[in-house]
Amino acid sequence: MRIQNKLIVIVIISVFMISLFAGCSQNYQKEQAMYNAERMFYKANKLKQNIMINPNIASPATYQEAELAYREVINQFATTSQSLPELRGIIQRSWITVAELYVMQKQYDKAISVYQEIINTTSFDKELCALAQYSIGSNYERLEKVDDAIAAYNKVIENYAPIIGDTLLPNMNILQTPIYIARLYRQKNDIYQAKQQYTRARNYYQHISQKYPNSVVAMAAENQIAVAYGDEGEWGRAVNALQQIIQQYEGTYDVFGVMLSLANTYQVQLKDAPNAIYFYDRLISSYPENPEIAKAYLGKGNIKLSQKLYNNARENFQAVLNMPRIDNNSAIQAQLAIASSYEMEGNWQKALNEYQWVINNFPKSLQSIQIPLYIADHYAKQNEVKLAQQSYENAIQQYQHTIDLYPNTPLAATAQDHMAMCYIRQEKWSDAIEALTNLSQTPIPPQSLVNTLLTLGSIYEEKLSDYANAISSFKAIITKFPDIPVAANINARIAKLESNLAAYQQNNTNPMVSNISNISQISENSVEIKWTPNLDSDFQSYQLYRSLQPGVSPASAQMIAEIKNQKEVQFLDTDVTEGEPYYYKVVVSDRGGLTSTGNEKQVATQAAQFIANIQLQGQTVDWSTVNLIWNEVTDQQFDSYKIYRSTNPGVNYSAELIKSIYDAKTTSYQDDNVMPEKTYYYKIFAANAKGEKQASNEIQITTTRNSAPSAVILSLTGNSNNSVELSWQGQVENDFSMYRIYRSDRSPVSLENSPLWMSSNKMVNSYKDSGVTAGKTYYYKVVVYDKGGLYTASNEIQVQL
Amino acid sequence: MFDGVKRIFWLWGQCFKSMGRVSTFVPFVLYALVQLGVLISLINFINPPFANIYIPIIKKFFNAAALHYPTFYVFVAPLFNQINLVLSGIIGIVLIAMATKLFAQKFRDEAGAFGEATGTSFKKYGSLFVVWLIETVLTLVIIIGLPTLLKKIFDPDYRMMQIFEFAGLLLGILVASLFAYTTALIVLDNQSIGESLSKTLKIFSRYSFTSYVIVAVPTLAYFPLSFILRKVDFLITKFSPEMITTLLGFGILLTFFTSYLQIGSITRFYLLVTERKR
Repeated sequence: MRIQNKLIVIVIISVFMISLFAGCSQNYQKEQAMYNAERMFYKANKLKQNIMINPNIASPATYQEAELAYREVINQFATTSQSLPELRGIIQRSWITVAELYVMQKQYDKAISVYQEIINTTSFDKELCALAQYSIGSNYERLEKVDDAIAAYNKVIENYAPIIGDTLLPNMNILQTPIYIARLYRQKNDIYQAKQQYTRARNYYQHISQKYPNSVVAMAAENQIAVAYGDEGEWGRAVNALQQIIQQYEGTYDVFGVMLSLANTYQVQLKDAPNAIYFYDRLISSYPENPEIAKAYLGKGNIKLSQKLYNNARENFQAVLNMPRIDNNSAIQAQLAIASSYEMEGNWQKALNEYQWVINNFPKSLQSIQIPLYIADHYAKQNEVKLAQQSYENAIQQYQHTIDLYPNTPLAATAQDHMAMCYIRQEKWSDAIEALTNLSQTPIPPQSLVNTLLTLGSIYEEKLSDYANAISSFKAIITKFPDIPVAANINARIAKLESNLAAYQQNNTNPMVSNISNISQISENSVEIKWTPNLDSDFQSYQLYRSLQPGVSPASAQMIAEIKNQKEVQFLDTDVTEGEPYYYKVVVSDRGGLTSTGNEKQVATQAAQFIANIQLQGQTVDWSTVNLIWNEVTDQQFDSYKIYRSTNPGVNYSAELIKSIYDAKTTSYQDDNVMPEKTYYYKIFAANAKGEKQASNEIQITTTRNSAPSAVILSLTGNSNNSVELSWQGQVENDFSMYRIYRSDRSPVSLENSPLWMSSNKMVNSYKDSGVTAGKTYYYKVVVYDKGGLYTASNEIQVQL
Repeated sequence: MFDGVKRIFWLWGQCFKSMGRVSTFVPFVLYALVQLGVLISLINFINPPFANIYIPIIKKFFNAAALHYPTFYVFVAPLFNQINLVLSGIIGIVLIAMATKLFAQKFRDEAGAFGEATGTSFKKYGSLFVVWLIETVLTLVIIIGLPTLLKKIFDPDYRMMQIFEFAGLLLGILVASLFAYTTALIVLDNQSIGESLSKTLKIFSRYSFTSYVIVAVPTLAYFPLSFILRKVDFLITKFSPEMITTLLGFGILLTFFTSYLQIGSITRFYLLVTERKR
């Protein structure tokens, strides 16, 4: 190696080593801790993401795995985070997620334990502890342990200020806690304590306001004073508080939210339209770019609408729609308000267009779901019976579409609920029951479930006098929600129904029998059964049973239909197999639980017909070959094609079977076993596995006369003392059979001697004769034979060796 | 053209035959081990002693966010590629020279002399480095500079930009194939820098199709992997950040085989052209 190259290598290695160790004095512990914590936190989050796909079906083991991953982050880095503030966020989020995992499993007690663990172990992190203490309160609320919730919220107020650290931004959870406490007392109907707590809350907020004067937290605290007044219904004081905030802070801080609350309070609570409009206008002029400015336009528009100033109202709603950035909810509200304005004006057609626009543009919104039912109800109110009927049907179709498109979503549940409403309006009780039953089996909020079961029970009781099912619906409410306020009323209703049912059952007799009167439309795959109607007033349902054996009974046979409509006395059974015997029976049930069984009828479905429809065609290729072609048989039962041939017309199975083909796609055949100048008759039979055959048309074909093959021209290609090379040329015909070479030592060559050589390969056109003797003369001929035995000889050549 | 294609397949066939001599693999194994070492050190960048090298580099030349997980993995592939580029100038050229020498020994049916190959390669390091520098600068100008320039001129959409980048890559390969025979000329025939540059151009001008294809095909074999590695966000969110490491590991394996094919076929073709002449 040259000296300069060695130097280069030394320099490179030195640079590397210096780089490696120069930084040894550097301390990268902070970066290392952050990176490793982030990596573990990321892995834990991945596990949580798997749960979040559907928290309701995630297994406990999956939850436990995620919890362990977050706890591992906490165990490894909690201590480090005390000296490394950058890590604190990860630790906080890990702790909170551990607790949230229990909330997601609805294990609120365990979640509370985790929050308590957070408070016990991370006392140095006030922000995290405050959040944990607040969460303890909210989880006690979920457990409906109001006193414990109040105690937890009180600890928030006692132990944590709404300002934590050096930021002046308020912690809203802590700030609002006094209001929550007052509301919980109100929820307990402890009006005195509630009032005390609202007063305490206002004092607390006054204190905060004075402690942090002219700050954002002071403004937020004063806003809570207005909220407290509002909760107590002291709207006059509430607006005074809000106005004071605006006066004090406008120009310094953003008072959009406060002013909007003020305008809303004037509009909704105080019905003071001029003041409401004044503040809406101020919002519009002062905060045109605020993302929530649509609310001001909507509020103002609604006031104009209530004043029947329709054009003016629509201008405001249109202003919302014209905004460059508009959220869906505001757009829907504005559009619906425009529709309402037309409806109030009496222009239903325009209103209808606007409603339809919402349905088309926001099909997934809850507001849009309500529109089809609303439209149908409108026609019903107007006594437009036909239009109402049609609209209810349309609405049902739309709801079914939504349910199919977005199954197991709140949207589908709402659609199901509205579908039930459509049936109720149409007095289609069995359909309504089915829709409500489906709804009750989907995950819906408790209050919705209570309402659904109440409606279901009421229909059974009041419309169908079906006491047993009514009792079952009401009992389901009590079982699921034993502590609901209306439990006593429901229990009383159940008791009354049970007494009615007992009295009914004492007097009840078996229902009127329904006998099968007719079985029609019997085909390969369907049977229609008709029976005599039941005329009892306590009719519940027809149950149609089917069996492959005689002696049909509910215990042994299959129930193929349950029909709750008393007037529906026929059923098309399409779940049958061809050629099978079936036995049917109708059982009638009444609402008292009694049944009557009708007669038994037997029917056999038709055997499936094998259809072939073969069209056969044929032609001669030459005297020895007939080509046959036909169309493909597509029937699934196909087994084989059978080709029959006869020399007499009327080909049938006794004729000669010349070929069986088992591939339906093979649709041609070459018959090369024919004689010249003879007439043949052909027919193809398509057969199925059972041996049933379908015949084609019969064709007649006469083969041509055979003629001797064309001669080839023989020539000498070369010769030596001991060999002769021959070649020949000529047309090779379809009925070629063989070449024969004849050799003789005298002319003419006789074809009666044995041939020198034979070949049935039509491609061969040369031959080398090595069996010759020098000095002799030979004569050669090539003879072409056809399959019919005819032959033609070539020219003769002479070879002198 | 047909002769050219036949010749290329013959060259590749010769490469496969040369696999019988284990010593021809040694430079490629060494380079793969070096790359693997770099990759392992890179994914352990946060731990000592690698932290001392990588953290200052990342802080200086990359976004500070690259020191966080999983953001670091967004930068792994470009960082690995840049380190690879530097490595190719330090170690890569020596190993290519060794490989060329070892292939030549095999193709000439000479006994494998590993020591001789190593010695010659180190002796020629200066010339090889200068040629590598010229080639690398020109290639980078084409691959990076050309699409950037076109982007500035045409303001293309995403699809058009991809076309520009692919065109840049093909042109970059063209530059690389112009320099294809420099190592062989320097190491096998003891040519100076100037001579090697002028002779490689001569060989290319005479056998441009073959030269381009034997350089391009192994290079383009890596292209699908580069394309996937550009979808870093997708890989991280859909799979895991560590998926990038797996793909880079696969890339090392791929480079091992494609480099073998490329250097082997270039050397074989060089010998065919020059020894036929003699």
